[in-house]
Amino acid sequence: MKIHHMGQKKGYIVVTVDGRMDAVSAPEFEKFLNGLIDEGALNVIVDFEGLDYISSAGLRSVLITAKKIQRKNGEILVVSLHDTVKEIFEISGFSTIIPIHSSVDAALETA
Amino acid sequence: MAKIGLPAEMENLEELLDFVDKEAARAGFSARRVSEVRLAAEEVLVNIFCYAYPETDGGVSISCFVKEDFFVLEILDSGIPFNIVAAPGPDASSCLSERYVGGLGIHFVKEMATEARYVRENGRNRLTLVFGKYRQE
Repeated sequence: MKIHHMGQKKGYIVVTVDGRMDAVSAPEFEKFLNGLIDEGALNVIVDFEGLDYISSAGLRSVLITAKKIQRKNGEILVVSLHDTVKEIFEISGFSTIIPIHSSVDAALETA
Repeated sequence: MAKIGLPAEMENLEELLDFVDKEAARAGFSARRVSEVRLAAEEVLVNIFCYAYPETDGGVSISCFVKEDFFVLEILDSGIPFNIVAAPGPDASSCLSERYVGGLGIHFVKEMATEARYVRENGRNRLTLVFGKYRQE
C-alpha cells in the first residue's frame, strides 16, 4: 500500500491510497491520517482510485479516522472506489455511514 | 493439492494470502473473485493470529484444491476451539462502533464463501471454505 498527500483542493486535503489495505497495511493509513488531523486537517478526501482491495481491518481504520475527524466537526469523503472495494463498502453498510463519491471533482461539487 | 504452513503471526499474512491468490487464479477464477477469496482468507487468518493462541505460539496451515467447478480452502490451526461458522455477525445496533466492525470479518467470510464448514478434530480447528466461480448475492 502507498499513501500520497496530493495537496489541497477547495479546502479539502486530498490523499490517494494505492494497493491493498489489509490487516498489515491499515495501521499505516491510520497513522498517516492521524498525522494530518494532528496538523489541523479537518476536511479530507480519500481517493481510492488505486486501491484494489480492502478488508475489515482496512474498514476499521477508515472508520476510526472518520470518527476522529467528525469529533472535530470535520468531514471525510471517500471517492473513486473500484467495483470490488465498493462491494465491500456496500456489504458492510459503510456506504451508508461514510459519503462516497465517483471522483474528487464530484465530491467537491456537493461539498 | 497445494499446501502451505507457517507460524500464526501477522508478519506471515501476506505470504499466506499471496499463496491463496495464486492458487485461486490458477483455478481460473476472475480477478474479482480471487480478491473475494483473499478477503475471506484474510478474515479467517487474522482471527487465528489474534485469538487462537492466547498464551502460546502456534501454526496455521492452508490447503487448496479444485473440486468440480469449486475452489476449496482448508484452514487448520491447533489453537483454542473456535467455530467461525456459528459465530455471530456484526451487531446491527451499534452501527458506527468498533464492536460492529469486530463481527464484520466473520460476515465477510460468510458472504464471500459459497459454503463454510467447521469441525473440531484431533485438537484442531478445521475450516473448509468452498468458493464457486461467482459470489452468490
